[in-house]
Amino acid sequence: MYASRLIGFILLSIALMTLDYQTHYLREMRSLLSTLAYPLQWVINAPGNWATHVSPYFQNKFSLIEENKHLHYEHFLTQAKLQKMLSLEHENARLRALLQTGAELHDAFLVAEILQMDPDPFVHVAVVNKGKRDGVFLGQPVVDAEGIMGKVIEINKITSRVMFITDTSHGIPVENIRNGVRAIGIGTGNMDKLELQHVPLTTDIKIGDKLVTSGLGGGYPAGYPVGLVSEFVHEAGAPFATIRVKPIAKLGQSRQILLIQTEPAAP
Amino acid sequence: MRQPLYLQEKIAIFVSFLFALILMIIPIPHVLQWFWPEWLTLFVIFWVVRVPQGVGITVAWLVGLAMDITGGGLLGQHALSMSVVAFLANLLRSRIKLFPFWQQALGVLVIVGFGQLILLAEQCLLGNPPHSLLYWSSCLTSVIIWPAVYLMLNFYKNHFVRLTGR
Repeated sequence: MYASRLIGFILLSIALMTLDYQTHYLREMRSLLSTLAYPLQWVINAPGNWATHVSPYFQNKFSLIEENKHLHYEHFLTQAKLQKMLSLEHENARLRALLQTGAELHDAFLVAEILQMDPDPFVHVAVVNKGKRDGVFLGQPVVDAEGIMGKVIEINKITSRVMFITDTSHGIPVENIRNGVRAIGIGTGNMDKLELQHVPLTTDIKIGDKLVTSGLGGGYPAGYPVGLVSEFVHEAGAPFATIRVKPIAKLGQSRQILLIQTEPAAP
Repeated sequence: MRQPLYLQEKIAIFVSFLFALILMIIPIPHVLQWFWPEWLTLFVIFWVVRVPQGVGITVAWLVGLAMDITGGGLLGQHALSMSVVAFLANLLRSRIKLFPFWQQALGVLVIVGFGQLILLAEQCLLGNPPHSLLYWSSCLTSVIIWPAVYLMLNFYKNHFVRLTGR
């Protein structure tokens, strides 16, 4: 009797998985149920949130002064860099006008916070605290202060799921900033490694090269930093080189992420 | 012994599963994630062994489904593995209940390993199998942590689920 019940549940699970994998019928229900899970996620994050609110009160004055000084300095530096950027931006716009190609230069951002990482260490998917009601859309690119992190793969009412570029089922079109060589970076399941696939041995890619999004395929806007080439292995007899890339975004560390608001133009 | 549970006992068990769910999804450093024990599986084993009239395949299946919803996997993934875990725990119940910890550990290892094997099979079917044998390390840590989980849940049970005291 117990065994027949088990078989029943196994069949039920398989039916559910097939339905979830092959069709969209469960998506609405799922998004509803995920909302139920939000209190749980909130509870988990409460101590961390509380700590960030309260910890300044317990810091000593000198460390605060030190931190303030440091921040001022950093602000000063970024401001200086921004000045340069501004003039470059104008120049770029002028050149683009000359070439008669329009391009979005400014993107709007929405700040979100990571609530939870997928419990499976091979699946690099995070739950963030912004959802449909905040205007998050499917496929929305996600960055941190340094570079591309991933994209939105599921939206619920108040939360959404973001797949990182290092997930094994994720690929991102990139180009070498030095010479424009294009490739596709595939996730390896390791947070500090991407692999470029099907790159011929003669391609001009060197260790230390910076790769940015190429914007091809329409999934990601062009020009966001993705990673630095860390390894270039040429195995004798292999048709393609093995190229490993270290992501620039702090995938394992950032709690705060930025969702790029402008929808990428269709290619 | 075999009476149905009071409402407060059901709530106590529900709360413990909620706690296990929180332990499963709590953000931990990525390196540690490999070695993070399968809390939910351990909790299911405990309740199936100690309170078989309250927690069986059905409850385990629902708990697995809750894990799928919060964890974000395919619906039914954990549900399937949890129902098998409950079935095996029920089979090995008398053995786990009577034996000293180190012998219990063997049974727990088998059950947790089976649960993980099913999850692995599902992931392979989906086309993204894990690339490293580190996948199995959570089984070992689960077994190592089992005595502590058992003792703590036993304490919890004796305080909130007074089955023997009726």
